[in-house]
Parts: sequence; structure tokens; C-alpha cells
Amino acid sequence: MNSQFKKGVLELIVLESVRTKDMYGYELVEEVSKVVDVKEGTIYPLLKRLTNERYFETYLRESTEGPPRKYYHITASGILYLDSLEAEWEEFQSKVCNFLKEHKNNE
Amino acid sequence: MNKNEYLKKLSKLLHMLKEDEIEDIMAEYEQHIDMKMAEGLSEEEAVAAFGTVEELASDILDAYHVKPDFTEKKKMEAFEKVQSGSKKVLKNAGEAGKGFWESLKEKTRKIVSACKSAMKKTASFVLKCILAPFLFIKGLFHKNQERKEAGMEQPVQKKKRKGLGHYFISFIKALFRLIRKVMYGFVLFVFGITGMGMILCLGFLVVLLVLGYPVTGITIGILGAAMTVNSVAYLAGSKWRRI
Repeated sequence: MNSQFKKGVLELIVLESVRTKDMYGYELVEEVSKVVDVKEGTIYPLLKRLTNERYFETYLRESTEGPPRKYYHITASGILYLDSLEAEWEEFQSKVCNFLKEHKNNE
Repeated sequence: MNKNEYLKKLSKLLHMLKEDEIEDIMAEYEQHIDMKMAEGLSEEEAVAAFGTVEELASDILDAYHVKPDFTEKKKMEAFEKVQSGSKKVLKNAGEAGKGFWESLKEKTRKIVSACKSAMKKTASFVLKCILAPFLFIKGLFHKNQERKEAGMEQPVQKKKRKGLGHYFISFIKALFRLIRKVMYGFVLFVFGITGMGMILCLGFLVVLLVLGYPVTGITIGILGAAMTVNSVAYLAGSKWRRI
């Protein structure tokens, strides 16, 4: 898959995934991988940035299967940011779709 | 690379972050790698999924808006400057110090040997004054010996003639020799003991002087006296040994 596409939508996918459910790193990588192919080396720094920008909060939760896990939780500003990203994406995606459709029709 | 190596390297590249931040990151990534391995991946594969350690560190630091190279380079530059500067300073100091010590050693040697010879001369003079009468008598004996060795005929005649006189003179010679030995020994003993006592006193005075008591004059006086007395003892000792 085109890496530029991936990069563009990754934030969106990550924010949306965590909004649905609080997740820890490993879980999130799996979840996002269902949509686009990502490596841990990309996800974790992104999580770090989103946390530093206060779009995410983190907390530790005990687990029965090992050491306590760090969970990510979306904040109010994170939700606002996500909504603006979704709106931008909608606009962008529909514009591109229409553009391609028009050119297809004109063939 | 294995998990521990990777994480160690990563934490080094992230050294400028807060300690608890670094610990937190390490714990999270380690947990991820462990879970991946539990899934069935090998350690190498699980680690590789994070990408190269430099890229990962760089991306993480981006999240803090920290330029990864900045601090490291500046630190290295500053360190190297300090290192070369201090090396130069030490070198110069070393050379200056060495030259100074060499010349100091040389000067001290000269002074010490001059002192030694001066002490010997003074002590010798003092002793000669004390023993003047005995030396005079010794001189008389030597004159007799010279006359003996002068002629060939004389010895034959002198032998006969000498008989009693010869014994008497040799007795006196031996007596004087004994007296001289005793005297030197006595002088050596007395002056030696006094000399050692003076050195002891000198020690005490130096301590007092250092402590701040006003004993400078006495200290210097005792120093001089100690040197004189000890040199007399030394000379007496050497004369005593030779007899």
C-alpha cells in the first residue's frame, strides 16, 4: 500500500480506534493492522506524540497475564481533533472520488 | 539484535528525556516484544518490527519536538574542547614543573655539599683547638721517628742505646694513644648525646613555631647549635674510628 496514503490516515484510524475502546499498545497495533498494514516502529511514536499533545491520556491497568499494561484513552480535545480530522477526510476523500469518477466518465 | 541490546541502545539514544519517561517507554516496548514472542515470533522478528533503533529514537523524539542530534553533538564538541585544553595545560605544567625540580635538585645538592664541607672544616678547627697540647706532643713523637729513619748507622746504635728509653717512650706513646681515644670517645659521646637532644628540641620548637608561638629566634639558635654540636660529634667520631 502507498505509504503516503497510510501516513495520511493513520492518525485518523488510531484516534477512532481508541475512541471506540481504551486500548493498550499491542492491542492497538493489531486493531489498526486490520485496516492498514503498520509496524510498531510507526505506531508507538505516534501514540507518544498524541499523548504529548494531550489528545490521549494513559493509565496503567493490572492484568492477569503479566505486568500491568499501559492503556490509552482519548481526551475531550482528542475527540474534537478527531472530529475535525474526520471532516477533513470526508471532504478530501469525496473530492478525490468525484475527480476520479468524472475522469472515468469522460473516458 | 536481541531485546535487551535493542532496548539498551534505545534508552541511550533517548538519554535527554526524563528518567521516568525513558523507563515508561522501555517497559511498554518490552511488554510488546514479549507479547509478540508469546504469539510465536522470534526475538529478532519482534525487535525488527520496531525498525532501526535510530529511526525509532528519532521518531519518538519528534514527539517531544527534540532534535536528536543536537544535544549529543554539542556535548561531544564541548567535551573535546575541554579535553584538549586540559591536556595542553597539564603538559605545560608538567614541563615547567620538571625544569623547576631539576634546577632545585641541583641547587640543593650544591648547598648540601657546601654545608657538609663547611661543617667539617669548622669541627676540625674546633677539635684542633681543644686538642692542641696533645697534637703538640704527637708532633714531638713524629720528629723522633723522622730522625730514626734518617741515618743507617744510627739504628744500630740506637737499638742498643734505646733499651729502657725506647720502652719508656713507647709506653708513653701508647698511653697518649689511649688518652686520645678516650678523649675522642668522650667528646663523641657527650656531643652526640647533646646533638641528638638538640635535634629533639629543634623538633619541638618547629612544632611550636608552626602552632604560632613566638619562638622563631630560639628555633634558629637551636638549629645553629644543633648543627655545630653534631658536626663536632661527627668529627670526633671519625677521629675515634681511625685510632
